[in-house]
Amino acid sequence: MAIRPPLTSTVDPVEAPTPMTITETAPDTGTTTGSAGSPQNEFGELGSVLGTGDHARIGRMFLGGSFIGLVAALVVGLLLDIERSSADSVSLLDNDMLLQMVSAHRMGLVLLFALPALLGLAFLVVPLQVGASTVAFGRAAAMSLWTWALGSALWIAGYLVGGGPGGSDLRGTDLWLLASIMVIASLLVASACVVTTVLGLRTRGMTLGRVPLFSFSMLVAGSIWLLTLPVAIANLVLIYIDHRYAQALFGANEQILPQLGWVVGQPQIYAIAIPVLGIAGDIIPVFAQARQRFYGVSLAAIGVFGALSIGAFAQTGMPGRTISEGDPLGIAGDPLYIGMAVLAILPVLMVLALGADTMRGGRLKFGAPIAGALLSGLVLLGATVAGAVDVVEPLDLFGTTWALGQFQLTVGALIVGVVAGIWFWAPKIYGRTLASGPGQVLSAIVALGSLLSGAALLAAGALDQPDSPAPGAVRDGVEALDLVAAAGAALVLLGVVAVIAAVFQARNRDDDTPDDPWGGHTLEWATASPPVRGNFAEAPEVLDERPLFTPNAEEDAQL
Amino acid sequence: MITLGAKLYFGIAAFALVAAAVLGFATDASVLGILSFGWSGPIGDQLGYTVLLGLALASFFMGVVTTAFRDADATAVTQVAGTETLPAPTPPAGLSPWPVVAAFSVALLVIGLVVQPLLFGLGVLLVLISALEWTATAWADRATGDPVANLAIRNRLMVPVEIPGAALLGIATFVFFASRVLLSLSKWGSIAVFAVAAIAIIAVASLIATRPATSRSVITAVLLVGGVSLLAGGIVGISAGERDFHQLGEHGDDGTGHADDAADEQIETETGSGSDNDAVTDTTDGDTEG
Amino acid sequence: MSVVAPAVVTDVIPADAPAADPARPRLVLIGTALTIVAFAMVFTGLFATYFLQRAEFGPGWIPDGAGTIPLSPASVMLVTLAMSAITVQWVKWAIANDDRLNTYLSAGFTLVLAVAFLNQASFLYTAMGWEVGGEHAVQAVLIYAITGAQILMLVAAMVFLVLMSLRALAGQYTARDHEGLTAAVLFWHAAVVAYAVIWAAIYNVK
Repeated sequence: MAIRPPLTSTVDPVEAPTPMTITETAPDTGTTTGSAGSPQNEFGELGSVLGTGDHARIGRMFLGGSFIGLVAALVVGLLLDIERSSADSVSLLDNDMLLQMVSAHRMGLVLLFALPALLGLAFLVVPLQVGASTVAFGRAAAMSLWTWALGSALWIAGYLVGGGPGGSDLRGTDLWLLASIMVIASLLVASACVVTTVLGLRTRGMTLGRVPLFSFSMLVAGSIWLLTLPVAIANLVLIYIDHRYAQALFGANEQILPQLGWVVGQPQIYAIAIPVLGIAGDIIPVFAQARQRFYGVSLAAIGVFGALSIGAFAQTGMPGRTISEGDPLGIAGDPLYIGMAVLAILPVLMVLALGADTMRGGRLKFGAPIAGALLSGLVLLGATVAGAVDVVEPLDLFGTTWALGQFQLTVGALIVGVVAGIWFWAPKIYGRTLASGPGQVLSAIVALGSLLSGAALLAAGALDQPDSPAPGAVRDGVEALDLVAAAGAALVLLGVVAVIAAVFQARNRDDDTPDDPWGGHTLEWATASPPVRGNFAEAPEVLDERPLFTPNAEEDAQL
Repeated sequence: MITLGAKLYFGIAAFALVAAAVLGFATDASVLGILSFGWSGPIGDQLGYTVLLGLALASFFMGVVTTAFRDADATAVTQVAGTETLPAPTPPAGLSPWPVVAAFSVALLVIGLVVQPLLFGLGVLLVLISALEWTATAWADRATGDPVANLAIRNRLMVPVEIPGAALLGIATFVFFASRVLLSLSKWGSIAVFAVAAIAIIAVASLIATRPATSRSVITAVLLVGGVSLLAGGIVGISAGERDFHQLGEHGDDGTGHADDAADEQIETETGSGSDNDAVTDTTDGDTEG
Repeated sequence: MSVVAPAVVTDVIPADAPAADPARPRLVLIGTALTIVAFAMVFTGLFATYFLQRAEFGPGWIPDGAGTIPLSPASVMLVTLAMSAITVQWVKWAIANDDRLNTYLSAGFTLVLAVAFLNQASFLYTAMGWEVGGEHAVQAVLIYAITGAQILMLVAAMVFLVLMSLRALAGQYTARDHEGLTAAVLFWHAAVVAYAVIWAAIYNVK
């Protein structure tokens, strides 16, 4: 049985906590909060924002910024869907812009939303889960945030001047390429901070095998990002030098997106979905009010899913690369590619099966986090199944919108997962609980939108609709499916905007937030909401992977 | 003992190795080529095989690191530190502008690579300054156990360098970017822009001076907006390029080192004074008019 | 051999101030290891393209005779960096023995060797005389990208070593706690290994 650390703190806001042996006696009152305890300065609040090294603040800004990126990318995606569904080659946008919008949508969802959202959530939650007083290299984390923000601005500026892949402004393309390097590099710095936190800042008793699933999934995801995304940087460096000085290898502009396509295609796209398993794995036992069995199997499943998401070898657009004859994309018939796509279903299924087992063995209570967790898991399962079907050679789905549908499903799973995480950890993120009803509805809306959009694109792909935004590329007879896809994308956008509104509304509410509203099992629920500066009044010590779990968890919940 | 972290990284490495072999065999590699990493035979798909082999090596390296550190478990770390209690990292004690300055420097470096080598140089300089300042702060943070004393130590060491350095850099930056704006605008445009800018500066300064209660955030924001506007204007000016300068030749030189005003007007009329990019300059003495 | 640490800026530290808590060991080293992994994967991505293009090109990828890349300067560069690997290890050994004088001396030697390497690289580029947009455009793009990335890594290693040496100069690292310098040494070795691979795969094999 693990020992429970104090729930609240009277720690001095400017002093770091002194590591101590854990006691069961909790101080009566908590007086300081993360934001209240932040160092003040002579430049006021703005200076506090710009100069902060506080992991919670950095995490919130990453998360907030990622949702701005998400809305922007979803709007672009919606416009593309509308464009695809418009009949008879009537184009609302010119071809130059359409081509750029394809990369803006797909890479935007990964670089401006998926990775920063997960890293933001990790900055907020991982130090609490592993019992650390801060994130590793807090100032490097701050630098990664600002570099990402400025890099994203330059990345968008690259598009605005017509320099995105497919655009005609050569100087703008140079800007886009360098900004892409800047964005990816900044996200890698942030990943290194998160991975180092999990590896090097765990509290006493917390072996790596006892790390909560979200933190472990971030360890795996961060490691996979560090092992694969530098290859994308290498691609971009080569393209930049070639584009600027020679245009001998990749041409003027046309080869950029095909070369970088592996970042947004399977199996690499699963790398953004690894933490979905961790989020679901942490939420389900709490709402099932049961200890999850076979914890090690969950860890292994997340690790295996990470390995199966290594996609840097699948660079289909590299000039001169032909793997099998008669295969224009160069990878479709490769047994490794096929094997990875099929095997990716297993770890997702394993985590969901373990979740179902936990729910069966416990007393399930319902709420927005569990709704989001289950939906995200199911949408991700759908995405992996779609990915497996994609590689069935006789179906000949390569080059159709099937892959786009699978991408939409994977990103949809991530959006729902992140929403579930925000609802679950809101007391630690914002110091507020978010209303459960809207949370359930919004998770359902985003999941439904993702499924609609994804399924429609899959169906259109099965009917040989090519994955091209060019006017006239629409195959006759699939206009209705394209319209459904557009409706699904609109639903996702609507849901995301509503999520942002719900969070803002809750942040403006002034109420007492319980430290542990759910009867949580892991260390983040052992500190105040929002956490005290330094996170814990005393350094906690744990004895198992669910240090706060008791069979009467419902009684522990403070709602 | 192989720790869990090592199992993770060794596992990824093993997976990548097997994947490289599978990819190789599927693309006409030989057994000897695969086993010798391409030294004694074909490895099939060069790109995929190299990526997966490199990834296996990198992951193997992390496996070695985590094994050597015993996953950096608290017990192992405490032993290394030679302490009884687990050393806890302290959250950054104060605010530091250097992360944001470093990020800004990288952005400047990127913009410089695209539009102007001088900006690139400025970006590199700022990155180096940020690294130095960051190190000084990191050093001072651990100088003593008292955050207030640490801040005093840092300031005593760095402020005598920072203030003149910042002043020099600030002046140089202002001169450089303002000159880029001036050079890209038309003669009357530059006069108008800087007249408005001067009036705006005086107005804002007067307003702040008459309202001592103005919060520091507002002042910081105003300064930031001003600085960013200047930089943005300068970058746009660099992108737009300098306006066309017309050589006056000998007849434009009145011997006093100043361009003849009448000649100015004449040439400006001839070249189309309505154009925003047209202007007149006397290059004999380096003066630029307009 | 142990020399008492020269007081450089330690006089600004109040004598009565409490000592700082011990730093959490392993953090900087783990962070550095992850950075090395990221750099290694950048090189992997670059080399993957290089090997593919070289295989596609066939014989004569780097021409013989006039216009070739001379091996001798590249080998001298390798020897220079190999020597710097020894001197940088001397940094680690010296600080582990609380021998600050040797720490500064060896760090200085290492940096001098690195500057020499950069000078030799400049000479090699001049001797090659390849233009990116010229006759061997594809080869030039790849070779300049790979060697440029290694030079960038070495410069980063130099900055890292300088900054950590400055902290040592300010009296921070001791025999028990010198992770910052160890991390800088580790990163330096990684930069040397990167060049060794370049020498073997590009300059030597051609």
